[in-house]
Amino acid sequence: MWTTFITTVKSLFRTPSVLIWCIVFPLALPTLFMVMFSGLGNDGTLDPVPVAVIEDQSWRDSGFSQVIEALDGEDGDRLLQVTYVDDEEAGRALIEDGSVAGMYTIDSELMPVVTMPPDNYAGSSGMRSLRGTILQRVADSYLQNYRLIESSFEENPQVFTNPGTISEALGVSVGAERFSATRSLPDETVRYYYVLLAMVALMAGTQNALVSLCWLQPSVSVLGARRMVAGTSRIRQLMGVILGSWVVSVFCSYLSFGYLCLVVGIDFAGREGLCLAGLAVATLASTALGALVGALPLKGGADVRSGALLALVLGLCVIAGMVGTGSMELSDALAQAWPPEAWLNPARLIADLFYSLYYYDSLSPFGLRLLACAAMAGALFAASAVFLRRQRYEHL
Amino acid sequence: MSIFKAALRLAARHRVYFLIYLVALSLCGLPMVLSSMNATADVSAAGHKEYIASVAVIDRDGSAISRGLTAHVSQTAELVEVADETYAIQDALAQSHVDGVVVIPQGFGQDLMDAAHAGSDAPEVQVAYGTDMQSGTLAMSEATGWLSLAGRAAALDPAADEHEVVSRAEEASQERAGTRVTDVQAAQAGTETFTGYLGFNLYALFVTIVVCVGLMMSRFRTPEMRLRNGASPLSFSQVNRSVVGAGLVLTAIAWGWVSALALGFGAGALEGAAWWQVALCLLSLFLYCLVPLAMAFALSQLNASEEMLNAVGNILGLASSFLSGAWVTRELMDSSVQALARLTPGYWCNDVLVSAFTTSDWGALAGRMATDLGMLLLFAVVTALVGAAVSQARVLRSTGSARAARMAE
Repeated sequence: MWTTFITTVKSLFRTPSVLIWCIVFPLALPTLFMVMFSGLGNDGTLDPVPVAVIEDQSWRDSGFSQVIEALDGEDGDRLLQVTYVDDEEAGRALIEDGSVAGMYTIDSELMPVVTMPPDNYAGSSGMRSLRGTILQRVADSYLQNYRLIESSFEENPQVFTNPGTISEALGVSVGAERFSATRSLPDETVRYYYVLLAMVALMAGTQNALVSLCWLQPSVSVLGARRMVAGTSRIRQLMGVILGSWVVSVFCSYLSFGYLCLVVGIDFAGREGLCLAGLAVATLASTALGALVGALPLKGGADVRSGALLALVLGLCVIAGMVGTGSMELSDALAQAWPPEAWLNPARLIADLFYSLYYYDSLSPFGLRLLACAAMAGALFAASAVFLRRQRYEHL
Repeated sequence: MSIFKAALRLAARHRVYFLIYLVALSLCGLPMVLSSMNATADVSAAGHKEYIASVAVIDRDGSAISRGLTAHVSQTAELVEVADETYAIQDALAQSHVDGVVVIPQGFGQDLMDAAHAGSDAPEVQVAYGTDMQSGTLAMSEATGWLSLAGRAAALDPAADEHEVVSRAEEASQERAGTRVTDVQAAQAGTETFTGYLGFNLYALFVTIVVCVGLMMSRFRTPEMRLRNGASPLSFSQVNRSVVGAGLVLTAIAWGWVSALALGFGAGALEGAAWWQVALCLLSLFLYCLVPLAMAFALSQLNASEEMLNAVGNILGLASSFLSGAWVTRELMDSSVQALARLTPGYWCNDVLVSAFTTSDWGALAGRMATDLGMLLLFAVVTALVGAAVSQARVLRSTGSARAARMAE
């Protein structure tokens, strides 16, 4: 068995497709992600909303200008990033080229008016809608305070005999103390990397197990036919092959994990040890999936099965959220519409392993997913054993 | 013609790649694009739809003010019920069920009234955000804005009790500032379904063409095939034309498949769009497909193996698609990354997809479209020229070696 194990490990490391799919590809993709997300703030600070303001006499006369100046502060809670322009035409030009999310003007009653592009103007409609709503809320808030003071004056004018009443009232401001409800600061980019890690575990496990199992089967490869007449029992060969391909897969996954930790700088919430354990179990499940596809009595050789598995893994990763915001939204929508999907799609399940370590203090969500991975591995190994047991090679 | 047919038969033997990379991936994209586009389908061409933040209010106070806040949030945002437990709050944020959580501490209502009457600092609420800071900030401002209004109502009328304060804050919060939506031409409503689907398939098309055409062309570069073709009455240029022609047919099939799906599933979204806008998108996609075709030709001149074709097709296809802005909006990318993206064909193709429906005035688009399409053509030509140069260098080297061998004899 140990000879089979060592031979499997050596052979896999000498196979070009294994090197490309399990080592080169998993290192190239996070590098691409790293470049792409380099401009995305993930330090827990707010990206201010860019807005144009027409700095005319009405603007200077309106109290709204003071509100906007306060929100355009320099500290970490800066909500707006103001660009002052001379006239409406210049503001519109900034909106059209996408430099600002909207424009504030002051009407004849010295009240703010928000101008913004349509949501489906070139770019992300969701982001436009959100930024537009933030600009609208700022103007609403000013107007609401104005109306509150006006209605108070109408109801009880005597209160305003004291000139300091209004400034004192406006000084009442309820602040918000931010607390971290989750174990680590929420970061939208880490999810992409976690799905990527899931893809590596799946790609490595399935490809290695499939290739090495095809080398063992007489009906699929010439090598398999030669090994069939060897003195070593079938179960010993099978154990050596599975163990060897799992070890190679774990090595490839750990290599990718190390790259994510040390080069890309992805945060695993200080639980790297548990991540490694999770990755080992996840790789076991993917090895079992590869073994099952390798054991299925399908027509075609290793190439056809390998291609089919590659497509399956990529498809599972796409619906787990790997390829952009649309894919991530689909993943969330699927999980909300049909929660078992998050447990049955191995890509989503493995990504959630890391996600649960990142967000939850408790280890129970991680433990549950680890158990699910182990159960999936057990079920798939059992199924592949059934297919391997029942195979007959009459032509031999 | 026989070479052309043989090339197509050769490609058909590797149809598994066509099925995996093109058919499977393009079908995967259908639910993804349709679901993400449904979310914005109700936005009219010239409208602005308010973003509805989802907020969880953890009320540890139970006062009239805290209840008033909960009622207000349920009207202006999506109020999500979350239990006052660490795990439940973490779960709501981690699963993106809420944009933000607002915790009202015990005694908050009374403290706010006291602070308003005394003119001292108002108490604070506790907030936690989800993954998107901007939507979290919006959720938080919905709550603190209303609480501040309540505090100011109390300061303006010291005799008012909590219920009266809540009533006045609620009345004032009905006010809305005037909004105007600029008359810049918006993308025609729903056309995102069509262009989004084409953008999603940039990767599928790239990898399919590089691998399938590259494999077919590489087979014609094997020594045995070259010897056999060399003995035939056909000249090398005739053979090459037939092989390139077969590659062009494969490219057209891949492009046609994606275009047919996009037109089939996005037909409803294209009502009101001019025919030339649709044609422009499909033309840009076709010119984009010429880039992987040229790359397949260049790689075949290098005798690239099947693994190499797969690796190059996947890595460059993913890089081009990610940086194009079709998968992740360009607004999220750093300016240096956006500059880098211009070096990929996907950027120019996606630029056509993004801008084709922004105006129905052809004249306003002509310059931009000409640049985009010209750049795509340039990418294809330059890549093909590199391949031709490599091929020429190899021919010269092999001729030189043959001469040297003859001279040595």
